[in-house]
Amino acid sequence: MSAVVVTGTGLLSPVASSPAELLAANADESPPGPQAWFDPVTLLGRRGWKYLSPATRYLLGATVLALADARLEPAGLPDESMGVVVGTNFAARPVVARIDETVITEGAHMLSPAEAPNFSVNVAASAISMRYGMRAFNLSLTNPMVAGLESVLILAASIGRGRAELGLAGATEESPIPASAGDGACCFVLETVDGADRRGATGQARVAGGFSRFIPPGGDMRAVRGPLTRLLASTETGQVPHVVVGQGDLASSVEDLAERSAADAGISLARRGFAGADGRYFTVSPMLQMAGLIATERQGVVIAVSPHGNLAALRLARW
Amino acid sequence: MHLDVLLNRVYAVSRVVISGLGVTSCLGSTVDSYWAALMRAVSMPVEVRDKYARMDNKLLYAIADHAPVAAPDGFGRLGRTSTFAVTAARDAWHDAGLDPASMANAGVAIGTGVGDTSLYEDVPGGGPHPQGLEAYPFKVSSVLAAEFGLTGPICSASTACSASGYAVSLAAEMIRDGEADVMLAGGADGYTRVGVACFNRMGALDPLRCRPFDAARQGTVFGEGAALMVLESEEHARARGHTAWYGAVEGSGWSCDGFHATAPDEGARQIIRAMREALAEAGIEPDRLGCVVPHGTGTPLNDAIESQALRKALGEHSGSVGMYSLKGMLGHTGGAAAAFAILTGALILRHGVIPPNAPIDRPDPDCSLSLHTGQSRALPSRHVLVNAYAFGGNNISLIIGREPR
Repeated sequence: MSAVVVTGTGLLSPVASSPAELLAANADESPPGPQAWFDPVTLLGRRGWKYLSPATRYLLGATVLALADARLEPAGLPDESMGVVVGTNFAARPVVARIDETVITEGAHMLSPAEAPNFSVNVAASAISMRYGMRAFNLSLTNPMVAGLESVLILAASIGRGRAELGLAGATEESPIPASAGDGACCFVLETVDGADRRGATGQARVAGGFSRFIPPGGDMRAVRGPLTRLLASTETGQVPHVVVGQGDLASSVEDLAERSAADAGISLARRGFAGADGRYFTVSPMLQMAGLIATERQGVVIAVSPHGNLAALRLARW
Repeated sequence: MHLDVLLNRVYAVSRVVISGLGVTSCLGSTVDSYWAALMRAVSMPVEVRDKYARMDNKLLYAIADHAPVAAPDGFGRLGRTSTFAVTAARDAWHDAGLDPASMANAGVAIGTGVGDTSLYEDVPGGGPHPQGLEAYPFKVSSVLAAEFGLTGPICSASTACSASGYAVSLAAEMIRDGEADVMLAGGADGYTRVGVACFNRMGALDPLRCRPFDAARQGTVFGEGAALMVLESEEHARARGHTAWYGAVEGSGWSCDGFHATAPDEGARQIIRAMREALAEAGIEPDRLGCVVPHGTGTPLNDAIESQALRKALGEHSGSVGMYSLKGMLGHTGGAAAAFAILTGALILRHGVIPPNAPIDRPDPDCSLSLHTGQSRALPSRHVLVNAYAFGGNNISLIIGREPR
């Protein structure tokens, strides 16, 4: 099987709208204000997004940037060769809250029929397929915090199975807390090396492995240690950049485990962290770390952990 | 999902079998009572008891009573969806004869459209505002993993009404890859006021009952519940002496219309492709199918297009293969719908019988499918096709079968 590589990156967040801005941003920087950082007209044009939710608009905006970065024109490719996988936790939550408020206070007849479909969390991912004709498949994943990273794993695996030749893996969020810093989106174009070579695209990094696991209440990490050690052992010897995304005791324990697993694997880790490493952008946060590693060292390991116990890990290798 | 395994093309497993079932439904919350209700072929929705549901159509195939379930440590309260899922999962483990706590390599893949939205919808009625871990609506997979001590791969798919089809397909792939020995897989969705309200506004609800493929159908009717299955490799099942499995997940076909947010592509190209790819992956021709559990929501356009697609995908066999229109009994259970269809297909394989369809007053001549009513029908061969479609055209078809290769 041809290896799967990242050939395009697109990101939108309150503190960065490009990999270069991500590297320049202070990881703890506060946002300039709700949505002041995102102008849909610039990225999406004047039409076609009015009835879409903010999270869908962010995702489409990040898609525009990722496709441009990959120099990919989907219209020129077979529609059944392109898949979409998107992770999110809260893309629909604020919309659903607004709809429920209308239903309770005014009644369902006061809802906009054009906006009614937005209660469904898969509308965001589906908008990509509708706009770009990516019809191999379209998946929405929703595990807390880790669903974005899982979108990369599942898209790469699905390309490996031959369900698509290339596609978009992304994450998007509209924070459930109004005016908070949790909005944003991030997308990557993934394709086979052979496919990238055929169209003259440059691989930014290779998707070299990854896994998902669950850490049960109490924090027993025996199920994580084996796959994490194997993942790290497959890296080139030397110092491997890594980011653990999350907060609290569980994230600290995962950080400790990563150090011990690296020692088992005979390598050392170098801690990195870009805007959102604390998990403030939910599923988008791990994707921003992936974008940061690609923009700097083109390799590394991203580990995301949710307070519930979900864990996903992804390894990038130079290409 | 351990990508290294896939990238190195190490396929450890040949077949993934369904070895345990559990349901929480309006028809019954044991597998036996559920099957008995399907065989009676009588089911009607009720008006949902929700004083905040300001809408004309409040019909729901509701679960009248369900026992509360304590949340795992630290998870706060469980919403309706997680509660249904945990209850069904307990039965599925029991049915499979497995103690999940004793397994080192078991995971979970769940499909849900709305997750624990009920915690939010309960707030106007005096419920506390969800906080901490409760605030994540899509934590059903995490709840199941924590409740049953599952530390393997974990997946939450939310492709609306096809979500649990993808969950089962992904779970089977994880087992085939050798990433897990056992997966708890299925779907769950509880009543959602917002969902029913939006379908009211879109004019997509039937005022009487869910009556797919009836000429007088006017839309769907929501249902709720959970359908959970224990999947394992055939080798794992045999090694523990369990050979009484219901069937195997033999193939799945994925596709996307990429056409409209809610309406299907009238050309049906992608749903036909999903069916054909599922058949190809299973290695069977359409004439080997004994039954189809169609998506069949009762929405006029959707049922007509699915019927047309079935005729193209199955050819001459589309008119004779047994059709079992499940939503006529359960309503549309959203993200759980595909799992209910797969679970029902597994029971059809086990019993060798297709239950009678819910009454259809006047079959739609534009659909012309073989929908038997009144009497059950023998299953002529041991492969069942399940279709599931969703908003955005997120399609999946699966083949489950029982006969050995």
